[in-house]
Amino acid sequence: METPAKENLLEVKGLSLAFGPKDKPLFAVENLDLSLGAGEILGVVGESGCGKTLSALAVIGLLPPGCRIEAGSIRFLGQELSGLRGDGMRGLRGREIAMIFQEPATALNPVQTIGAQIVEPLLLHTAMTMKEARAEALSIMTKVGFAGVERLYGVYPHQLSGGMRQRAMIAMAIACKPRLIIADEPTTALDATIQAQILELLVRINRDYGMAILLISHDLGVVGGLCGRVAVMYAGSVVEEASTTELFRDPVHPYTKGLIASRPTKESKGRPLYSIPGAVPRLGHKPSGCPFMPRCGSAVPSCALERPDSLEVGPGHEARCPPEAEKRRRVDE
Amino acid sequence: MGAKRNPSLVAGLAIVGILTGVFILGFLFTPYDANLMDLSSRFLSPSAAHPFGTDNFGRDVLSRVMIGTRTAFLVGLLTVLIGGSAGLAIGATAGYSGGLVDEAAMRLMDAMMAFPGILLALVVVTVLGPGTGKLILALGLMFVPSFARIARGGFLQYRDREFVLSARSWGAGPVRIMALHILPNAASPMIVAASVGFANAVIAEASLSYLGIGVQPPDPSWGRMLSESQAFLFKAPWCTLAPAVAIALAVLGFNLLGDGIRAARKGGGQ
Repeated sequence: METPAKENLLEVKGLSLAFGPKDKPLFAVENLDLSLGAGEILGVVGESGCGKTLSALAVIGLLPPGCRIEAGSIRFLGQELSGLRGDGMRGLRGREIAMIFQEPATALNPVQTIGAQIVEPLLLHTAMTMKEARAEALSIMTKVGFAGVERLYGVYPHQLSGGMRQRAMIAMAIACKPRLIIADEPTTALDATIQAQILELLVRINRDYGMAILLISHDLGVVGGLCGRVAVMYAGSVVEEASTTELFRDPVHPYTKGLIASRPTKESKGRPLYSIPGAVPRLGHKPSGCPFMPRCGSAVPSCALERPDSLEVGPGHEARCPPEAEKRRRVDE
Repeated sequence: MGAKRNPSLVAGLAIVGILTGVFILGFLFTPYDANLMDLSSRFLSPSAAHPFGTDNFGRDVLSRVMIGTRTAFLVGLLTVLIGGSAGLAIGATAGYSGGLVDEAAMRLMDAMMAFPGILLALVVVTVLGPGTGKLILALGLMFVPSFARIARGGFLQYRDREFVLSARSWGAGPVRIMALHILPNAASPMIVAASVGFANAVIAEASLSYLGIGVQPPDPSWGRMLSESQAFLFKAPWCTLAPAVAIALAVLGFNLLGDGIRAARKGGGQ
């Protein structure tokens, strides 16, 4: 087995996730490549239904019933996760990989106190006694911005505001100091003002503890402000990946261009926002060529022929759009 | 929560409270020895000395009814405990696992339910022989399917909730999730079922004792007191009336309590 010079923390290669019968699989995620270094923040952006959440669940080994890994590999710290079952995966969850869910109101147990829920992963994964775990939980709660932790330790989720619940969720996730945190739309359910605070908290956690964050969002603005690198997903695959500055400065894929153009900016004030025509193809109705072709303004006949490959268009910048990549090459020469 | 908002709970608590008081009092004090026969005072009608009268052997009916709560509570409690814990284990596993495990377990429960309960208990007692312990075992067995169904429903309802997924995401195993995360959420229908089950156990114990295969003489049981006194129902109706009222009160009390808990959990939100 060849080992790369520097093994990434998370290395997803050619991952395909499918529903339905074995002989006629419906691919929700197709040939997905993602890599994330230790301490890095990677943003994954895409519309609802493009497979972001499913990919995240695959990494943590919690695919919903009926969904399976059809091909590809998920390597974490050099260990293959895709075949891991039961105890092996359970030992990693919470200790090395943790997840923050979108809706803290439903992701917290309604009949357990906040403190009890933060203590639980500690008791499960470390040798701490209840007393030590409680002290640790209190310090984590302070860390994530709870004021008056002694009192809030004993409250139930419904007594907290949405932002505070999400802080509690984050406290649970970072309790055991995992190396990787998967944040699935962590701010979507929150008010805009709270959103900024939570994002700031995530950045602080990343900086202070060196935890890598896989940030999943449908909001390019959220990702842009936070992540060093961004992967744009469409219909189950990454269509473009680049550093955040590069992506905003010079988007290659027509879908990325569309996403960037449809953001509200100072210049577009007062004018209607741009929107990408059409909708994401439904599972099982994906065109055989480029999945974005039906909505693409610059499609060429060859787009309909086969799934496009991801091509390098610049240093650390890849796009899954051969016509556009070709254009760049010609300009360069 | 006032009596107006939840009259069932208040009434149920009151009746069960009184019965529990009598049950506890029975250990400390009874007017007479419940099994003490006094042939000179047979069939005495209720009076100051014997508030509920005496029976065909001259035993004090009040004392026997008081000691009878012991049997009723013992049988009720243990039956619910056995049936409830076995039913919970089966139902929780079935509901949480789903699929083939669920199918197999629930079909087994259906098969058990298809037997008339009393008949099932009769068979068990016939095979094992009579006695309070065996009676409890038989009744407990009879109660397993209904508890299993209720538990399954609750676990099925909660297993796909996001907080369960969240618990799994930090590494909780299935047993931990079932016991610590789902059970507290799904407990209220189980508590209601336990209360109603207690009432049913009292009836079942009375029925089986009435048939003579339950609690063995001379220990007093409400059901057996009924069956013993029916021969002289017209001569000494108090002998029948006292245990009958006790059974009715216990059944009513625990049913009301169950209803009240159900209403309280529903009204209390969450």
